[in-house]
Amino acid sequence: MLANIKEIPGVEAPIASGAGWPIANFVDDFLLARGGPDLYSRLLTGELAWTDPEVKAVFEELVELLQAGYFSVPADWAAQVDKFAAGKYALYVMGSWIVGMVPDPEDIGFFMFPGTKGVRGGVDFFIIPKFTERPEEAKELVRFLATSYAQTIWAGLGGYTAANLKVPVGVYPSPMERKIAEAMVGMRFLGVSDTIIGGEFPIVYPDQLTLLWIDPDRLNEVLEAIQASVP
Amino acid sequence: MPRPLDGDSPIQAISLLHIVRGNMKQRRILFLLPALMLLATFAFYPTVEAIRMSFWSWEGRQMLGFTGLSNYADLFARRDFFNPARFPTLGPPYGALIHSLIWMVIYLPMVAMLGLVFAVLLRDVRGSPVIKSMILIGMVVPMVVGGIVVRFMFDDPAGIINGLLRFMGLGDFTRTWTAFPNTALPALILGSVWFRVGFAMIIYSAGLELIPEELYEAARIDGASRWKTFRYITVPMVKPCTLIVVIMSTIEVFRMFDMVYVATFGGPGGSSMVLGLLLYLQAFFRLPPDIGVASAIATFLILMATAMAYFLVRRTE
Repeated sequence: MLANIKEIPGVEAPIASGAGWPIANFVDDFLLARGGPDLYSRLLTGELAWTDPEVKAVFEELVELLQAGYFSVPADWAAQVDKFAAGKYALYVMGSWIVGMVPDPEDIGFFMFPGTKGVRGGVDFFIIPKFTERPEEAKELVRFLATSYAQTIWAGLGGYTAANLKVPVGVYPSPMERKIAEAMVGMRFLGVSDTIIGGEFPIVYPDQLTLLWIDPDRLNEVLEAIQASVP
Repeated sequence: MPRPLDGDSPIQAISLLHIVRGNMKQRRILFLLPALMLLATFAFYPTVEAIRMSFWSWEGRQMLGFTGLSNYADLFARRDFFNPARFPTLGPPYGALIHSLIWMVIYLPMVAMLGLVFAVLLRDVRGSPVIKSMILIGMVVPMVVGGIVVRFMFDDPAGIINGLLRFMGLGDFTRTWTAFPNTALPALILGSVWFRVGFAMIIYSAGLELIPEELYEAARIDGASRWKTFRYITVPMVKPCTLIVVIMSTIEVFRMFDMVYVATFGGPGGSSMVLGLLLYLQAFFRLPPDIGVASAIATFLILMATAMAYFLVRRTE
């Protein structure tokens, strides 16, 4: 498919690349889809090194795609949205907020990463102040918000995809949200690597991957630098 | 004797009056006091504190204990700070320290030379205030905006630099400069030169006004060429201006942060990392922050800038 898209006149590259975090998100999805949720999960927990042959094999698949010229040169992610909307690129791995950034939201659709069995999501934390007089009631509220009952109300308001798998797909107000919710049924939920792994990793990971995009031959060097940044 | 001000005791009013009417030394101290207090609060105290913090070990934002020079040892062991093994044959990244030095080596002469050339060329040109104002625009643009402008200037195919290269028949050299390790740093340096050359031009313009016209007349009578007049009269006479430009530009390079943050974030692969950005990343981006190393970088910056300024001032004296 990518080879066919590349041949279309006017298309600069099949896939748009946003420098920094969008590339990091793409690679997370690639690892999740091609390596599987278990491999990705072990990378997040530090059980598996980024230089491990199992991980490197997945990256080598990616390097083949990079060397084939299927990705654009990394550039500012917001500027890439404009070029994507103008038809310079066919695909862009981006958040659902892209709907509000393109002139015609009806002109874009989405599909899950082929073969993926997991989805990633940012992890937010409920924080209860130490000095609160009612810590137990606060915990009770958090427990309530996690129930299918509360999340059904929440999802029905729009703009929020429920993490509780018991929320019925029919409650989502827009067709796009229903499609997203349907696609997530049966998926394993995992975190985003640069919010889970601390230390230097959130700095080094997107930067080294941007380097890989420009110079795929430096794969070993990139993986070593990423592994060195894991605390 | 004047009446004491409301709320002042007679003794306080008398002592203040005594100082104001007193000897010159006391008056100087009184008038310098507000400026000294501001300097002490916002310059001396943070500097001393940063130096002190660099000798302590940290856990997150909690100070643990005195650790001597270990933060400095950690700093010099980091490849993103100092990576001479790659310099120059293997290509970037060379580490923030070498990148900042490269920036200085290119930026200082270019800013000084272009500033002087513009000042001399526009000295007696009709409409020069308008042209100078246009050159000065770069100086009034915030560096954050400058970073965005640099990114788009060097973009391919939209950027003006690549457009110029194509126009000159050098289409093979076009690329998104900020995206490639070998060209990211040069793009930022050239962009920063453009944004700061207006400052040098203004300093030199003021300096040129102070050169006695008699010197140029004497040179004309002696049959000196325009180049010799420039080389042997203009350049030596604006030496104090060059000193100011060099010192200010040196400080500018060492504290370079915002343009790099916006244009490349130090990448790709750390190839445009500079000291100011590395400091920020260690103190505010890393999880948990490494305050010890960040303070060591800050101390290093302070020492480098101070040493450079001291050396230049002494040399001029």
